[in-house]
Amino acid sequence: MQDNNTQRVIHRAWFIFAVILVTTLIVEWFVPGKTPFESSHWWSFGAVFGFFSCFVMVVFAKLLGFVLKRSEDYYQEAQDD
Amino acid sequence: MIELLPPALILLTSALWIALVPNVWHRLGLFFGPVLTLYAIWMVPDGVSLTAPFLDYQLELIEASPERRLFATIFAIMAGVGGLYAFNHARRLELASAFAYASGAIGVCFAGDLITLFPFWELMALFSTLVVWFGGTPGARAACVRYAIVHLLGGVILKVGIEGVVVHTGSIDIQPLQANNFDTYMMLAGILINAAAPPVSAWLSDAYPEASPSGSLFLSAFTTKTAILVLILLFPGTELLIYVGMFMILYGIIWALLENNVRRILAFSIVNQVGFMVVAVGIGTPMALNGATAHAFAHIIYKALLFMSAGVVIYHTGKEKCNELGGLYRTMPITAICGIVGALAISSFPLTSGFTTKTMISEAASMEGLEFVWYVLAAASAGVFLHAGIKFPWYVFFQKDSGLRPKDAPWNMSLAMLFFVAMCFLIGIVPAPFYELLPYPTDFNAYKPGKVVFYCQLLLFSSLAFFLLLPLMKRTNTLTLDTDWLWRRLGKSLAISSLNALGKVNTAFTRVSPLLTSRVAQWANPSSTDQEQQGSLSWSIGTTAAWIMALLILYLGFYYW
Repeated sequence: MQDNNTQRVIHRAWFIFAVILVTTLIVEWFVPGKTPFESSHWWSFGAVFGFFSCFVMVVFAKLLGFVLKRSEDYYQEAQDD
Repeated sequence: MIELLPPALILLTSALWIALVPNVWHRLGLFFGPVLTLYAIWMVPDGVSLTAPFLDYQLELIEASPERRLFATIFAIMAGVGGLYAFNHARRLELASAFAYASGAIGVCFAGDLITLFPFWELMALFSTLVVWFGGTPGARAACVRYAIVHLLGGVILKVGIEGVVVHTGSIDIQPLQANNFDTYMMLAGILINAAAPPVSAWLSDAYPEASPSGSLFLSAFTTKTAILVLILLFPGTELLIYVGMFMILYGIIWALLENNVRRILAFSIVNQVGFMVVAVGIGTPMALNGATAHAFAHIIYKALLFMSAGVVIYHTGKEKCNELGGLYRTMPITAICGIVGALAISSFPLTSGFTTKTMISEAASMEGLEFVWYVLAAASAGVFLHAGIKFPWYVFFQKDSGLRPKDAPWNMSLAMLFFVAMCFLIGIVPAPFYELLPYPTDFNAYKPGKVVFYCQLLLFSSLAFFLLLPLMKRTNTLTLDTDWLWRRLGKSLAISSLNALGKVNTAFTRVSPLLTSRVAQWANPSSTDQEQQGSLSWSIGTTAAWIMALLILYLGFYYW
């Protein structure tokens, strides 16, 4: 179990991280995020696109893992056969 | 005097020096080899400066151009800094092999024709195989054999393509080609094998993590990037490469996400990063080729930094699985900081070299109106931050307290890492002098405010996704199947089954062969008695000659038919 001090550090880190994230969104009001294509010219596009790209990749990797993951000695077993 | 010598020859000589000179004197080669090579590289004038006759051809042994010089420069720097990093730990012959490997890469950089290119290409294959072999474990030796087979096969495919082009066009020049016939497709395939393109990309993630930590460092730099240079010289603007590159980018991310071994994560991210360069070569515009060249240069630096950081951890803990590491920042602050800088650079975070080089490739895609490609590159940038930018430092240096308290890097490793940290920031913060070295003039500005805001959002929110999805990325002691399953499992099973079947045929043949032999001998020499023939199971000279003659006639028949 994590002690109180560690918990406090983790909470503080999350708070600072959240402030940075929100700052990047606020800054976009003053400096519009420049992408070369019209389809992405909307506020917070970078944030939404970054988050959901990663979400899709992680979930896809997880699903692929069910099919492709094997025990570490998979090829070793083949050698012993 | 030095400027008269081919740069590759200088480095090859230093490799010999390292291998042959006893005691600590061999270390002189580690320093002077790369320094003199670097000097020679910058003394080579643009154009062809050394030729030699060979058969009916005039070989162009040294031809320089900005992109060739830039690739050779980073190869020489990598050899020097790698030597500094590894001289205390690596075996002397391993270092000599690594230097010979680097000399092959530099030889390819300056090869002015296809005939000169090939021996240097094979020199790389030979000595990189040795570098894998020096991993020293049974796993390393097995991976070394697989690595050698793939690369020798790749070399043969490239050679077939080169022969075809030379025979059908009469030209041995290295010049842009159209991939539109058997010869050029074979050349393209041979080069793409070295670039770790699908479907044989598995050789990279199979072999590199099996080498010693310093071996992995050298391996990460040369083979794939040399392939990129050759693609730039031979196949710029080949549309197929855009799709191949995009596949490599996404493949690298997904397989790295599934991986538990630290060096294998970094190996997959090489495929991913080389994918960006392959896309750029496929786009083929001056901006794209500048991007491919610049990104290859920057990539070698930050990838080396990541492998150096991982190498220090492996040397001092003996562990390289994510689920066995964690919390190492406490006792390894320098290694952790250098690893984090490498991770930020590979993620193309603003102020690092990755940002000022990778965004050139995205810019090239947008300038050509390749909207889908641009979106894939943007998503991939987020994915790189996910699998290498955060995953590597998080699992190794933070995550949990693994109880490990290793010492930080020794002075030489720290110096090597800090040198590359400085280069990452230098190219990231002041990119203009670096841009001037690129093959095409450019006024590219990476730091347009809107673009910086976009990339900050993209990367920071992808890190939010990482931390929220951590439960889905729990590390397990598993491996992920790749295309090497075809030759490591399926091919092996087929080979064993075939051998068993052949064994049975052989047994059956052994039973009937005495009878068969006597019948053939009787046919060849009817005057001999049955008793004489049965008394000897070996064939007489006359019988053997008769068989050989029959086979030759059969062969001639097939040949003319």
